[in-house]
Amino acid sequence: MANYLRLDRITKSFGSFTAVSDATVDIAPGEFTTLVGPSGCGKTTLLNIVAALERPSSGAVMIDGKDVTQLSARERGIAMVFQSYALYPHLTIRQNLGFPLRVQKVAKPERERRVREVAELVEIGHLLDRKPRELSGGQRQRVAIGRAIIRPSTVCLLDEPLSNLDAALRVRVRAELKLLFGRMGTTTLFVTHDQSEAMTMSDRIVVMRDGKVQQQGKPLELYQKPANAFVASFIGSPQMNLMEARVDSEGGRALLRAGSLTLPLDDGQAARLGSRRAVTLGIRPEAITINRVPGGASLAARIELVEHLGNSAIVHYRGPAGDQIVGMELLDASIGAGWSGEAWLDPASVHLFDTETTLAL
Amino acid sequence: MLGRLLRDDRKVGLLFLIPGVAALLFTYVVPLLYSLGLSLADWDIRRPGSQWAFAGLDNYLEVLTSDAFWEAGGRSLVYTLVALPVQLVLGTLVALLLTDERINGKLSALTRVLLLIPLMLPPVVLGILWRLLLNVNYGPTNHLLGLVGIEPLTWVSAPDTAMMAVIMVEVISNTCVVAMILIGGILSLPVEPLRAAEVDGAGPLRILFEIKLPQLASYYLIIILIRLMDLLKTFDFIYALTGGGPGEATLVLNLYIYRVGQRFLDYPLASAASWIFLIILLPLSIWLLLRAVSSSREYLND
Amino acid sequence: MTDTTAPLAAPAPAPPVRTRLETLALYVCLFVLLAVIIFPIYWLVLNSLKFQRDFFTNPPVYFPPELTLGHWGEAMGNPLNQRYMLNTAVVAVISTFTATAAGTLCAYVLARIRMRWRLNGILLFAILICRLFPPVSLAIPYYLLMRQFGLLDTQAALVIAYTGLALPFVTWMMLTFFQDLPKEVERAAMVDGCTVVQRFLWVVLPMSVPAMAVSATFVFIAVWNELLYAITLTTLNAKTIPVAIASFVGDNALAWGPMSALSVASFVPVLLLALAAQRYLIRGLTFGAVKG
Repeated sequence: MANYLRLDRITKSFGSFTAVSDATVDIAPGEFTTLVGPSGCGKTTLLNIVAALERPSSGAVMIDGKDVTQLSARERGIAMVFQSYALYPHLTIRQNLGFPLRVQKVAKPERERRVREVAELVEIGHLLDRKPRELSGGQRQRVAIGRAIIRPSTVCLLDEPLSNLDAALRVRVRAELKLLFGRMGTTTLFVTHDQSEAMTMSDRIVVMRDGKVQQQGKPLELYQKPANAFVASFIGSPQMNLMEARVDSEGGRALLRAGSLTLPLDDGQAARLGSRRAVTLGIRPEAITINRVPGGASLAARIELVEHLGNSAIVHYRGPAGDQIVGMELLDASIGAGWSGEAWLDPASVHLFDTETTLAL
Repeated sequence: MLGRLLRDDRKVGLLFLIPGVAALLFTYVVPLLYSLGLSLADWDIRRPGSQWAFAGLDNYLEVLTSDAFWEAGGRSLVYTLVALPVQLVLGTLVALLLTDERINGKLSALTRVLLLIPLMLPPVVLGILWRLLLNVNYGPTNHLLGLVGIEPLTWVSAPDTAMMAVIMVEVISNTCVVAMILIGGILSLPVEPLRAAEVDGAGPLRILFEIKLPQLASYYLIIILIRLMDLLKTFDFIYALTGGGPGEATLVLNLYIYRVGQRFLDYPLASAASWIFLIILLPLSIWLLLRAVSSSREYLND
Repeated sequence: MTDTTAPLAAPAPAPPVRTRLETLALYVCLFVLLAVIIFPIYWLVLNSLKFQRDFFTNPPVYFPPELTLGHWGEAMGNPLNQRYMLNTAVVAVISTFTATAAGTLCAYVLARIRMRWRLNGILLFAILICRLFPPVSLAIPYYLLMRQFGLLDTQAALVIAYTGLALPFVTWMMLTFFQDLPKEVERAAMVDGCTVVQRFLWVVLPMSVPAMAVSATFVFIAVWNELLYAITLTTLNAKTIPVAIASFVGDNALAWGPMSALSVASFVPVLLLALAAQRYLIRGLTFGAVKG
């Protein structure tokens, strides 16, 4: 039932501007895959290419191994949920849901039956005779999803469907969507600029930037083994600390010096450095704590600001060299700004990136 | 076959364009080419069996050397250049009056609706109506002016006042257009900058000239473009009000061309005159048009 | 000391007398404006109801003691005028329909389908240029061409001329409308499997009805009022009301009553339409450039 989607070396240029460059993405049958990246990274263009709303300048869209690049959305069997929902304003909800079936000339009784079914599924059965403008944002979004899933589709595309909802609703719908698509087992491509949506919803994530695919993989893979400094800083909140570090040695052991921080490296890490004299050092905030880490490194720092989240706290330190570093306390200890002392980290948890290429070492 | 055709956006696009392009072809391109040919021909419709004979630029030379053409052109120029600034200023004043907070809101809203009347009045009716109002002997205008001690004026019945009267009627009817557009503009201005200026201690005149009017600049550009084009095209109401007279006192270019063609039946000459008019008019109009719609590049899928 | 500078003190309120005088002056201006708008219309209506004896008096009669419907009877009872009225209505309705239909189709293509050879830009420019031509430069070729094709004095001739006259306006108005219409709805229809034609008929057209109604209103009013083409192309059979009104001037300068009655009669439909569309009028007046 579920279908296999492959984007093969897709490039799309508008005049001299290249929106997508040589993007290859594989999406396994039934997988929920997220395209994520900052605005202007080409993710929506890529989605439009899958939806046949744009033609790629080069490359191919393949569904189940068949090249469908020249086919229309209808022939590809694509369903899509738009960011603005794009409901037909002059039609009732019933007609909106039934529209894709009407276009495919499905007989009326069958259409009615499917509309009922889908309306129950997305819980809008009581709204069928209203017009879209009479619905709240959340309800409209359900209609848009209902319209997308009412007919069998090879691939379902979701273009930032959560961005027009308020924060509380977004978190709830996020979970519902995940359940719904998990149950249906449709191959799904979801586009968002919000890395937390990507992390929570996806089976797999594709990170894009400036039209290029940066990394693809399971959410935790991306978090734990970012392929480059961009992915490292984009995935995860609060952002990873990135700083330029000099390679030094003391007593035959390799050290990294970055601002106020002096970090001893183990042999494996030192080997990865090779002959570099400088690297980009990345440290996740949760790796930095005021609690002593056995065998860890420490730096003298003053707490400038504490953002309390209740179950945790984000701590902004400033070192004697004036450099800033962000840490995180999982238990909201009664720490406060002004505290001076030592912040600790585990040298094994640091990420190293090449300063020139930004690639992970 | 048909199914394939209907799925190709561009082919359907061509299909959709057919009626419009055909209409443009038959109502603009063909007639203009015909008129161009005619303007280069020697032909007299009154002589039975008269054939078009190529006459080169004779008709053009005849137009360009005739005083009547240049006088008509001068009248068009005067008409346009006097009427436009006057209706801009008066329109601005009317717009400010009808958006003034000191005037009862219902009353000014009602007046705004009434501004429609002069605007929608058929131009022929406008001309006829003012013929009645300005009648020297029996019209109310002279009588009412007499009540405030102004001597009776000759209005459209004497050559030396006719143009002024025509301009006055034009100004009265189209000041309303200017005012309506500006009212729309003023009402859509954000309130905060005005409040901020008040708080900063700016007086009403300073607020008007330094905050309100500059924000309306784009509106003025559109108004000038539209009014200029329409003023240069005016025919209907002058035809009904004065018919170009008395004598030739209000014979603007449009009426001159019409008169040469339809009354004297000299079609080649009229065509030459209208081409000269177009050649003078088009560069100006196109320039203004490009300025006014330069922002509309985005309107194109191009 | 603070009382010498007092930068924070509120400015003294303007003397009430001055404020009241200003307000009074504003109301005087408003009164003058209202008089200039209303009096001419009053005079026209009055002239259509006055007895013949009240026309040629000095001073003029502003409030005649007696009124008559005689002029109305004469103007509207005249079978020729009835025919002209019918001509005007028929021509206005048909050319409004043709211009709105052709213009909407053109505008949709210009706004939404990227044609080959930069056709979108070229056509739009051509259409805008067409709007700049003074009608008088077209009236003469129209007359001669219609004469050649035996169309003089037919409603068809007027319908053709008026369709051409209104087409650039409709196209531009609808183009600005389509540009403001979110593209995503049409894209959704595309994904749902609609062809261009289905998209246009099932999705775009139903959403465009209000905008088309506004353009059509403007076209109808312009055509209903038009004089130059009508006077050039018709003599009797297809003559319209503006021509009939204008011909009072030449034929019978003294028939003020029937002339006024006919004028009022031709104004009423236009005024009613304008009142119905007044909310959208600014947009039409500015050729779509300003969103009223």
